[in-house]
Amino acid sequence: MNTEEITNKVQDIFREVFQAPELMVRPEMTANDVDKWDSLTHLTMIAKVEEVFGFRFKLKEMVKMKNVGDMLTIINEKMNG
Amino acid sequence: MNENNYIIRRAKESDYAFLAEAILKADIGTTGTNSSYAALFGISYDEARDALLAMMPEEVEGCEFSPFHFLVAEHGGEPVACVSAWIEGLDGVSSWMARSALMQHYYPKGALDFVQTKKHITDKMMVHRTEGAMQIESVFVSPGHRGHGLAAKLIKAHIAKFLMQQYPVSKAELMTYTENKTAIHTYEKAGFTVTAQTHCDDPDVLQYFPGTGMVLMEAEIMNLMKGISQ
Repeated sequence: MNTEEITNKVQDIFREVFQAPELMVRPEMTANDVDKWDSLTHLTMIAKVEEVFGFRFKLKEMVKMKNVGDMLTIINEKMNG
Repeated sequence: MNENNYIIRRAKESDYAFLAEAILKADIGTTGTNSSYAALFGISYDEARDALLAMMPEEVEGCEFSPFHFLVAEHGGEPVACVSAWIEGLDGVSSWMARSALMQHYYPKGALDFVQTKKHITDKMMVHRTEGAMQIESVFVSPGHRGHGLAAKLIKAHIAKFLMQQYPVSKAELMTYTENKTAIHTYEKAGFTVTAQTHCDDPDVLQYFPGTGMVLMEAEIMNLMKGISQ
């Protein structure tokens, strides 16, 4: 799976979970940039990413994700590493 | 009881059971009946305590579940009081993200689905921590040791530690429930002012939180050092 495919899938998840049909994911994007991204929707988003890509994040990975770019890097490593 | 019998030190592994209880009891405060860390997730107090205890060895930093951020007051070799403090978002990760990750890994199955059904309540309750501000959490003193100024001493020790390590921090924040009038008054006397307040009028709110609203309080840490030394 290439980076563009991963980004598109993550974008679809974000649009659905954060109820933002126009949302475009950017590597530097954080929860501060998305209205409905809070502690509860964050859990839903993570669960959805795990379901769609078929893996579980490790705790240490989850607590080091500072922005969307960090998450895309982890997904990329899991899918292609 | 002689005040000199108290030793203030960093939390260690043998304190974990005390800290897990303290996190829950500090949340319950003097007015609540159950901790939001349990009730809001549809689990019992004991289940929440066991989950907190299990996550402690992970030493995830930057949220209220990290033993690394606790100072404790010890008396007769036993922990009797504690306060947690960290700088919000210091490593670029918010405390709620770190907390969510720990809960996702350690809370019983179904607990995180349960809390999603209470979003209409949590949305009305939550106040937001300020990035870069020192966060004070889980202020707990065992009943037999109250009245010795242990909470104030622990908060001061945290501030001194941050200042000594030259962390770029000037403000301290804490949260409590609106019903905790005595605590709010004590914090105001120490130099805190209320900067945000929420109220939830849902009739079920007290089933899930130990209060009907939350208060975010803020203080300049230099003023705080003077205020709580008096």
